[in-house]
Amino acid sequence: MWEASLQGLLMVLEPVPMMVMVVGIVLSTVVAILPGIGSSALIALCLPFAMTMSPPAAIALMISIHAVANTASGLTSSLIGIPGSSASVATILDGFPLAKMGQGARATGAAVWSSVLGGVFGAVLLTAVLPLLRPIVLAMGSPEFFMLTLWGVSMVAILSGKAKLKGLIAAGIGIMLMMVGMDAKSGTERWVFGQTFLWEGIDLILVSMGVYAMPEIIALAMSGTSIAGEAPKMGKGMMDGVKDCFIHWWLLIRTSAVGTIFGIIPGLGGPTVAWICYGHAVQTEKNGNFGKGDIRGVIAPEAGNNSVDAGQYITALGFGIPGSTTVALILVALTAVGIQPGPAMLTTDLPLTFSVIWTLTIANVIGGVGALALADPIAKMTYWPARVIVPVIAVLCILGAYTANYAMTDLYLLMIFTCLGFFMKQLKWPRAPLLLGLVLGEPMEKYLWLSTARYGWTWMYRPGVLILLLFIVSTAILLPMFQARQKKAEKIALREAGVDEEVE
Amino acid sequence: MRLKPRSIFTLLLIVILGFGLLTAASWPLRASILVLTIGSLCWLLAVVQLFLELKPHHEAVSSGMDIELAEDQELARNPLQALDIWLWMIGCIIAIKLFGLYVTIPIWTFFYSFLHGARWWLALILALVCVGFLWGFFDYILHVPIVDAVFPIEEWIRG
Repeated sequence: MWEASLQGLLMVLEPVPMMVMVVGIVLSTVVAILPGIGSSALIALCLPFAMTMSPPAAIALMISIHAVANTASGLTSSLIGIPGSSASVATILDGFPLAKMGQGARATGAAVWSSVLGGVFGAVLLTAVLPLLRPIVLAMGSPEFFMLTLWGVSMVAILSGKAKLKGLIAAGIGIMLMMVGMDAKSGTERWVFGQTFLWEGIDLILVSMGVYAMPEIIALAMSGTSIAGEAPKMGKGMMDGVKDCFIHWWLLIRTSAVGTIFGIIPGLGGPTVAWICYGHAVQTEKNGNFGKGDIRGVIAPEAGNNSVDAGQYITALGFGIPGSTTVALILVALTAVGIQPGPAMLTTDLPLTFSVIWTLTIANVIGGVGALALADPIAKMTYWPARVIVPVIAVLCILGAYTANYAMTDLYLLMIFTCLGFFMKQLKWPRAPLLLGLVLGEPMEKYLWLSTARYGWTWMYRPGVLILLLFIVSTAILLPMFQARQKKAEKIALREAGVDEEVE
Repeated sequence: MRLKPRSIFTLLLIVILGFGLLTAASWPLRASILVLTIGSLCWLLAVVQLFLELKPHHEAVSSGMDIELAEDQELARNPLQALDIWLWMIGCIIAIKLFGLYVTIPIWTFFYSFLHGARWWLALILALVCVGFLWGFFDYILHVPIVDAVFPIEEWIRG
């Protein structure tokens, strides 16, 4: 195995693959900070070039683009509140308040570096679990995948704060919005109203822009100030953000492990994992100020969403099952250059598998350093007055939304969702559960249908399902109850000690 | 019992959800089962929410973890500013439909910045940056198909 690992490293370090990797990193960084244009679009654009390359060079190009996408997209989430990709939406919840407090550099440092470390951790874990893969993945079926989506939905309880009822309604609306379009399993048009552009469903990025970014732009325009307001200048906080990743190392490792494990499961992907990791941080970390600018709220989703990549390659390379559209495109490219995913990737072609792992690691580190260099100019945007930043961000949002289907209808939908987001914000409805519902709606329905079609209702008694049900119950009910009891006990203790709660 | 804006919003959600459920009722079972299950639950919760809001002395609680780019700008406190930005946004979409992206984006960016207090040269730079991004990245590199305008001024200019 060590010999194969060394061979893989030598393949990556050859001049041509290295040069191609750098090109991939640069392209991916540029695309990742632009909302709407995901890494899958870039990979699709690069496919014709990759198909003409040698296997190591094709691996270097495709994997580096995929590896860096999540690292750089956290930049804009933290600094200007616009997610470069849907996997970075959860980062906004705490990254943005930090930028608003003038700690944009710290948030960026933490976002980028946790992403890098998450990616590297994922790659290391991928190496460690290579021999154990087959039985684990094969033990999971659609019922277990369905339960995992339910586990994600249970995070609504955490994301809704005190407005739990509104949060549940918002999540339900999100799930229903995801069902708009042509239902593949029955051929039914669901809420399409004769509009062909709705057949493909509603684009997640478009809804994110409408519900999250645009209402914030409107609020900023109404306030007439800058994003950071009167907050002090950023100073040299970027390294503090990097240090934060090491201070909260245990959280970083946990969320990276969660990301890698969930990445193995096809269809869940970075956005779901980012929310699960965020929820995990909120539940397990003490003295949290989540949602108002807690650095751990940046570290957890960023580490999780980037470590997913490694997990996705486990199933993609080992079994030829792509976990996402992006990985499916990468598989197309790899197959075109003669790399056949399957058991051979874990035996005779092991050096190629290791070259994937090494590319993931090296691209993450180079991409992270590059993203940190870019952070400062982007961070300065948080001090621009509204009259400057509002039109620029509005144009970015409009163009980002336009990329959903390249049609005017995207912009009409954007305005409808902006209206929804605006009133939700004004009337204090939580918007995060709506997005969670949107992300999980599609896999939830798919796996429920597959489970019922394949096993009837007996799938409910599968051991994996029951174990996951225990996790869900503990996440949604027992842990919040335990936390509430703990908080109550703390209050009583403070009162008995004569400490003023407000001062505390 | 006074109907406040938040209750009107909830009522609107109840009506939309109800309409969605009625529509879904006519779909085949395999397409509607999850929609009806989640939708009905959601509708019931929304009704409960409305009753809670209509109760006297009900206060809106924290919206949980949410992003806040700017301080909460309540509509009632800043109705004119809200109207101003909404008109600009809607105007931008209408202008894109009428004149296309290439004409609208720079003109909209320039006039928005300039009329809200930016110097003319700064507004011009912003307009050029936006149109440069549109042309360079969207058109030149990605070959994104640009939407056809009702009045294609750009094509008329090019001849």
